[in-house]
Order: sequence, then structure tokens, then C-alpha cells
Amino acid sequence: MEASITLNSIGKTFNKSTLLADLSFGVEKGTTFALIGSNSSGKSTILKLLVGIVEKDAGIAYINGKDIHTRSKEIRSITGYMSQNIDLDNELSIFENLIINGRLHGLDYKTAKENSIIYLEHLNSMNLVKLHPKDLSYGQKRKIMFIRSILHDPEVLLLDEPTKGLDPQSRNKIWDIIDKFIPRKTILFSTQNLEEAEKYADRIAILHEGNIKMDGTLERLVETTHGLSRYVLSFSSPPSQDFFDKIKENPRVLKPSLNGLDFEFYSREKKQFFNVLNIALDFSLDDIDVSTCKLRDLFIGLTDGGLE
Amino acid sequence: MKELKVLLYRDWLEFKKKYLSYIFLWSLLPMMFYLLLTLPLSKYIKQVPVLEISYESWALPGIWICSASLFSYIYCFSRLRNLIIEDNQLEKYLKAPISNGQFLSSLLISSVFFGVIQLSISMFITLNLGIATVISNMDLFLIYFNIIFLIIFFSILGLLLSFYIKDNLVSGLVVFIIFIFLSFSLGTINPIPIETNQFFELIKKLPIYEIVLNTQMVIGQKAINVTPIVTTTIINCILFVIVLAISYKKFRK
Repeated sequence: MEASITLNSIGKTFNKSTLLADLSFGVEKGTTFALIGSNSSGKSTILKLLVGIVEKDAGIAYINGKDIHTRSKEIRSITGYMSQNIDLDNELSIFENLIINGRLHGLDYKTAKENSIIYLEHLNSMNLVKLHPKDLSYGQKRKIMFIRSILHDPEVLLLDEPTKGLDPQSRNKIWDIIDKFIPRKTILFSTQNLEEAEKYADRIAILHEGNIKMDGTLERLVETTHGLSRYVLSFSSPPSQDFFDKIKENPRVLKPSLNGLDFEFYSREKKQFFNVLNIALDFSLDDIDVSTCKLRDLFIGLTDGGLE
Repeated sequence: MKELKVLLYRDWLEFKKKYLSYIFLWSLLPMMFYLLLTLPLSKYIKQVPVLEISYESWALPGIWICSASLFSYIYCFSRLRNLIIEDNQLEKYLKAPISNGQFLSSLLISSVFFGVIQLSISMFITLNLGIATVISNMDLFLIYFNIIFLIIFFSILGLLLSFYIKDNLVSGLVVFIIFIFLSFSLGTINPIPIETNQFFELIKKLPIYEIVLNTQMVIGQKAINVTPIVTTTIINCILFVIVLAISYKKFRK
């Protein structure tokens, strides 16, 4: 399949700290690709770099076969970018914000107006058109920023945490719009909402300290855990130190941790779970939960020192 | 070109919302220069040497230059500085398919446009103060023609300084310095004496000073010198190229 976005050995440092280190990955045309990672992992930098807001120090990147460095202006005209932070023009009304942005991306006034109305209606935001950004809530501003990024029907959509700060209904509507109005477009989005990545992305990359730790389809990523399971034991009162001492004696109990009254650990062998359960029965065990590893577990494992 | 038009349209939309405060400022600036500087100084300076016209007539182009140049400087400086220092405000332009040149040109064109309006309002106000001055249409054209180069110069200066001045206190201080320089060092409000010190000798060599002199020559019905206009145009072009080069370093880090 043809690649729409290609990054090859991209490096970026800022104020002597490395934001991206020899980063390479590609996004196939017409697919949705999610970047997940902890804060400062480099997600926003990748998107800003692709749209030309920041310059790379090393490497080469292409969007639809065009070098982002030499054909930056062309790329910006076929790209829709939604920043993580609010960047609406405070001096203009919401409607003017949309019109100006649409026209800067090559739309005539009539088309910019028509497209604005379609998306505003779909997101129940027609009542906002005459207001200024300062009159809007954070979530409302995010909706307008999303509309602004898709107004010119971009070939490539770069969304930096598109549903951050939105209520669940609005989140769904954002993804509905993407499905309904811009299908088969290349979408690269960053998120900290792992469920969203699982649900909407064709491929997912886990980013850590400026590099991709793992990427692939959700199924492939989960496969890499080789049958690892997550166990949660809930106690009615905190278990004593004796419990933890006994657990420590068992090296195959991976990443044990206590969150409130929930004791969590990972293991590949059910036998280990039975051993822990046996120990826990001597304490105030309340409930148990067993699940196979999901993206969340893989993410924690890869970005927090590994599961094993 | 199309993108430039859109950017200018955006500035027009902003202006439409703030036109009352703009009109207030446009009226206030020339009146302030006249009431606080020219009028008190007219008690001490009766006649200007060489041109042999009254001080009040002589100071008229000075008021026009000071108000138009100061307005354009502040407009360009504050527009770009606010975009740079306010979080993510510049990003909305950087992600759009416009070049740095188009973006900076739009700021410059808006600034020059508003500067020319300031100049016209300043002229309208001061020429109705009853100061005995005869100005023909040709004189008006020559005055506009000269002052527009100063407006461009101070607009570009505003763009240039906005890259480096982040602090409010410093930016206020720089506006004050430019105000003092425009009013007293450039021979606009205060005539530069014939026998001067080294500083004024240096000032006299500046093409922008010679443009100021040109406008005073027009009021005094004397011939103007075209050389400083050409020199200032070259300086303006060089300064704009420098601003453009700096923008590539500062905008897309």
C-alpha cells in the first residue's frame, strides 16, 4: 500500500534536550494512525514537524511524496492540523475564524461558509458563530478547532489530542464526522486516551522519549505480550507488609503494585496467580479480576520500565 | 497574492471591531504632539532659521511625521510581539499555507495603511488649528510621498524589535525612546541648531533626517532632495530582508 506519511531518521533537539531521536515510521494512505505516549514523549513535536511549525534537525520526511522541508507550503495546503493548545484568533468571531482559515487554505468565501455551517450544525455549535473565543468553554473551543482543521477537506489530517477536554457525546461526534465526511483520508492523531486509539486507529505506535517503542495493529501489539495476563486482587483493608514480603519471594509475579486497595500484577502462568491467591486468602481478600493484556498494559509496560 | 489578500481582510475585520479606539488614538496623537510639545515650545522658538517661517508652521510636518511613524511602529511591534509571546497564537499562521514573507508583508501593509490614515487625520486636525500655512495639492502630494517612507521605516523597525523585546517594561521604554528620538533628535518638533555637537552631526547624515527636512522644505516652499528617499527605500528593503531572515530563525524553531 502507498505511504502517505513517511518519517526517516528524524532527529530534533530543543534547548539541549532531545525531543525526537532517529525516529522512523510510515503511515499508509487512507489509514488512521494513532500515536500514544506519555507527556513529553514527542507526540506533538512529530505533528508540528509534519505541518512545518517546527523544523527538524536531522532526517527526511514526506507527505504524499512531497518533502516537508522543500515543499512545506504545498504540504500545508493539503494538510489539516489541530493543535493540542487553543490557537483560535481572539480578535475574530468564531465564524470569522473559520472563514479566514478556510480562505487561507484556498477555499472561496461561499465554500468556506457552506462547509462551516455543515460542520457547525453537526457538532450543535451554530449558536457559537457570533461569539468570540474568549466567550467559549474549553470544549467548545476544541470543537471549533476541529472544524477549522477539516474545513478545506484536507488529504492528510494531523490531530493533536483531538478529543482532549470534550464530553463523551462530543468525542463520538468528532469521530462520526471523520467517518462520515472525511473517509479514506490519512489521519495521524496523538492521544492519551488508549480506548480511542484501540477503537479508531488502524495502527498504533507507542512513543517513549522521542522514539517509537513499538508499532503495529492492535492485534499485533497485543500478540507481543505472549499471553501475558493482568490480575487485580481487591482487599477490604490494606494487606500487611507480610503479604508483600511473601509476594517478593516469587520472581515470576511481574510488576506488582498496590493502587488503593487493589493489588495488581502481571504473569504469563496461571500457576503464579494461584500462588498469589493462596497468599491473599490469608488477608482480607474481597474480589479478583483477571484479564488478558490490552493496549493500556502494553503501554505501561513499555513506557514505565517494562513489565518483566 | 490571494493569501496576502486574506490576511489583509483579516486585519480589516479586526479593525472594524476596534475602529472607535483607532479613531480615538488617531485624533489623540497629533493633538498630544501639538498641545504638549509644539504649543509650549512656540513660546520660546519664534522663527526657524533658513526657512524663515513661523515655528508653528514649521512644526506641522513634524507633528504629522511623529504621530504617523509612532503609530505604525506601535502597530507593527504590538501585533507581532503579541503573536510571538502569547502561547500558540503564531501557530495559526505557521500551519497555514502562507510564507513568512506574505505574513510579514501583510503586517507591513496594514501598518502603512493605518499610518497613512494617521497622517491624514493629523493633517486634517493640525491644518484646522488656524496656523497660517499655505499648502497646495502638489505640496500635499510631496508631503505624503516623503512621509510614507518614514512610516515604512518605523513599521519595519517595529517588526524587527518585536523579535527581541519580550518584556513589557522594556517595550514601553523603547516606545518612549523612539518618541523622544522622533520628537527631539530628528529635528521634527525641535529645530536642530546650525552649530551642533557630534551627535547632531551624525543625525544630520541620516537619510530619515533628510526626509524630515524635505517635508519642512515643502512647507517653506523650497525644493526637496530626492536622494534621501532613494537611500531610505534601499535601507527599508535591506531591513525587511533582515526581518524576513530572522523570522525563519524565530518562527519555525
